Amino acid sequence: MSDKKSHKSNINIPHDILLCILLRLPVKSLLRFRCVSTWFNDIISSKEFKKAQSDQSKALGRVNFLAQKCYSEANQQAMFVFPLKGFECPHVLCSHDGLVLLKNRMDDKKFFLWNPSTRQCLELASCPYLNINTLPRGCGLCYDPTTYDYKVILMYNSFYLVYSMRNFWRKKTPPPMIDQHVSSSLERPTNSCPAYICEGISTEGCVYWSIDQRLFKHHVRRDSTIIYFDMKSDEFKELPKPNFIGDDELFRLTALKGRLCLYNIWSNKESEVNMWIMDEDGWKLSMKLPKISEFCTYGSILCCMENGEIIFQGPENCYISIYKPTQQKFVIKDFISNYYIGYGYANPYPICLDSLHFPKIIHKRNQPNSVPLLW
Amino acid sequence: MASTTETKQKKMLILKSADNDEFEIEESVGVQSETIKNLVEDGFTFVPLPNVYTKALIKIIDYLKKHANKTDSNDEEIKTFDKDFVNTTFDDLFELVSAANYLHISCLMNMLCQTIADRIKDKSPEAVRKIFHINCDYTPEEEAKIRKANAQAFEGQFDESLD
Repeated sequence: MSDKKSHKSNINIPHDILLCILLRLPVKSLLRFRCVSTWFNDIISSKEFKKAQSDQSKALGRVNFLAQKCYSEANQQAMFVFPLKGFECPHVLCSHDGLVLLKNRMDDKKFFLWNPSTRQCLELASCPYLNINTLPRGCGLCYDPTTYDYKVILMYNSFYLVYSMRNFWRKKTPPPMIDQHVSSSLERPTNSCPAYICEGISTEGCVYWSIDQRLFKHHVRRDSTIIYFDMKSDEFKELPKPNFIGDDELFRLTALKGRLCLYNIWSNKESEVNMWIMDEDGWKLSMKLPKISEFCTYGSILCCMENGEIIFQGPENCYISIYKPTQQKFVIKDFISNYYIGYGYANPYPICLDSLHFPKIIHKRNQPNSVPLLW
Repeated sequence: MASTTETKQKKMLILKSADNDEFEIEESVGVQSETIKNLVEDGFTFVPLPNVYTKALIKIIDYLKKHANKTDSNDEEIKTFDKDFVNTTFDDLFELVSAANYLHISCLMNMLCQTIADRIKDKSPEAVRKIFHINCDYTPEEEAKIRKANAQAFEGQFDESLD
């Protein structure tokens, strides 16, 4: 009895319990606690922990909103300021999980991957296929958990580029379904306004866009084509048309909890917002929201939290709205403006997961006398 | 007749703590623990818990009783109970989390880990060492190196308190 008591004075937390506690901490605390001891550091630095922490953030809806500092404005409230000298005010092209793809404002061939939580940054190999003043029409970032590889997809007028973590770019010709929609718009000069770069909707291993009226979009009509980039084959495929989209209806493509989602933003028939989620067996009607008041109609869904709250961008660009399912109503929150005065457009708020994960460049072993990388 | 059906419904279990105290609880309360549930399914009604001390076991039985009677109407009451339950010292929380882990009570495990995480989230590494009773095994140079590599995580003020 007495020797059992001694257990109490010297509490040792078992490894698996410490792991459970650490998984519930934000990235900033985790980075600081690497200093606690080698035991803490070993756990926090391990690949398995980083993956588990990222999954936990996804499940909990633990996200950061990335507010961009205004170009010349005195809006100093940015939550994250990009750290590199000479690379201030980059264009945020897209974000997926904990990563953001950025483009140098002055150089259209220079791209970076950035994790705002850990502030790790990686400059991608300069792209040999691009000239100055070529902006993509669409872009996407995707992650394949089976190979731990990230890929960046950039769509231009007559070709597309794929970057993989082997640190090189591949140039590819788009399939006819994209070609017929896009190449006819070649005469349209590449617009220097980044608001026209449509961010693809990323789910595990795939990035989705809708093509409609020669543009990459998130809006889906009955006659739109939904295409996706399949990361495994590096190719584009067409998604069979969902049959629930009526003639006069307008849907919007987004991702909710890691799955592809379509919801009606305009409809004659429906008085509610139907949210369809794609699972293994196809499209499923997953929830109905009360008719979104006018301001939210064109707002995009940013994310879904663990408690079921859904975050919308809008009304306008300096607010976000939160739909509270328990009260069945929307709450409007004031937010930092992402508005560019003088440009007449606003960037959406990119969201990124609070994640420790950051890709590493995969170095190929030297193979003397072999043919240079094939593409 | 009615009384015999009643006794049949209320099957009882005996839990024995590491300090050899015995507690009688209803089976329906006990089976919220996966560990106890497995033993009950194998026909045991006497459950020795060599890793759980009396102090923690009393609290955990309280928790299980409260949560066994969860209905739609007492949601607020359970929330208040849970809040009080975790309002204790770190050492008690660690004792409870070890017991919850051993007993496989996942909702309690989640709540305790989240509570500990929320309470240490803004603390300095020094405070965390004291709270977890661990010694720093870095050389000063190694520690300085890690601090430097994670400098952004040290921006701002940290909570040095141990509660």
